[in-house]
Amino acid sequence: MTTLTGQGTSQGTATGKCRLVEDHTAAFSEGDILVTRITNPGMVTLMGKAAAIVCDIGGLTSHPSIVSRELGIPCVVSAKDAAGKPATAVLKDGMRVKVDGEAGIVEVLDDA
Amino acid sequence: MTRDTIPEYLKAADICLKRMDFKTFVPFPYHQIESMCSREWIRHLLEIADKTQHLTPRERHALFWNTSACRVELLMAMISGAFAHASNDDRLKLFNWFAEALLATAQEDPYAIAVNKIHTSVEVEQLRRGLHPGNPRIGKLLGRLINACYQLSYGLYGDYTPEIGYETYGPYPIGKNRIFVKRHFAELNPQELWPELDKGIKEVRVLATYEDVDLEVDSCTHAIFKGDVVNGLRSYRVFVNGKEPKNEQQLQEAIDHLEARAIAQWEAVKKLDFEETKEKHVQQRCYNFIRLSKRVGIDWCPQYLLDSVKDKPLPTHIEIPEKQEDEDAMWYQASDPREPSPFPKLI
Repeated sequence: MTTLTGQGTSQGTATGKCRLVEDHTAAFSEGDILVTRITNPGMVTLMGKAAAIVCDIGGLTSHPSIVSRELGIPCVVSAKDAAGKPATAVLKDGMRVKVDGEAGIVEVLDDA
Repeated sequence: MTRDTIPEYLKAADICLKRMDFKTFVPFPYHQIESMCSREWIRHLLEIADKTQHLTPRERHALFWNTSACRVELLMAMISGAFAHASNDDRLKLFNWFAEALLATAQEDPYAIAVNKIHTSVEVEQLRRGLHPGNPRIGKLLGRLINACYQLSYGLYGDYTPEIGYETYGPYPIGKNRIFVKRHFAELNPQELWPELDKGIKEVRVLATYEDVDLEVDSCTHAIFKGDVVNGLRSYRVFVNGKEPKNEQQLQEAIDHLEARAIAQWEAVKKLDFEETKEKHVQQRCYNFIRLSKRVGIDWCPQYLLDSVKDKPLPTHIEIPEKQEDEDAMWYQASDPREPSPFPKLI
């Protein structure tokens, strides 16, 4: 099972399908897991629909961490696999994952 | 003496700086863009400080957008002073100017080691009047509202100064594992900065009480909630341009409007070219002092500041240490107005 670890910056757990996002035009449904290098304001509506946010970089006070806490959804930043590959290089659209925002863990439950 | 409070300020600065990931700053690395205009920036701040000496510290504080804006600018002024190799006297003069304002208004924790409190208990009780019962559905809506305001602030003011638009006051304990928090988005329609903006929502306030939620606010406005703010919401009140939305539909309309503006604003930011982005960065930095500047009749964004970044590449004279502890030590030393600069001079 593929597992990514990083810094958990907003508590809670969520399970859903990954959507790799670069801007607001990405296809995204309520309850999807937003996966991106780092969030930007263009993703505002998607963040409101996301069950969790996973980013390649960032820390406790980075933008995705702050807004995840406000939205009440889990967030893991600086997420990498055991080989050091960032989340956007490991996770694919449609993969089902479980995000633990307290432990800072993203578990791949099944591939797309 | 404000100088006696430098250790307290440094403790707050250290906590905040270590939590930040400087690699995530956009569009430019902090040390490059800020060092580029540092000499002119210190000149601008010293002029503001000189011309506002007649104002009381409370009056000075009131002319910032919020308390965090004053704190962030204090920290950035100290670091800019280090970039510029300003004299210790000038850096201490600026430290004193900012510190007096914070010591007068945020007496419990002026530099926000852990909290951001400026309201008296009487003021908190007044703010708590008329709060409506909360529930998770409303908690989720408030989260989207705050996120929309936050993202819009980021697009308006940049990654360096989003605190102009975003402030969290608290936590004010109100018994039985409950806290009161006030969020304030003071200026969401900065016409001077973005003249093409529509005249939409200008100000948003969110008042809320939470149960089993802790809050820490650091010296760079970062709010760190522990606990569940959605399910833990016990009461709330929202003001948009000073008026309460009449129902949830109006609240949703405000959210939709702000989200659309945040997206449009980000698209506008992305369209700026290299020169326009540098210019906008300088304007955004100056915007924190626009009310102070106007109060004493000086140009809020002087040409010499804009010229300091114009038609030049970003400087590369500063190398950020590879080891995190060395980088942390560098920023800590730069934050201390008594210490020599850890940076090479910009030629």
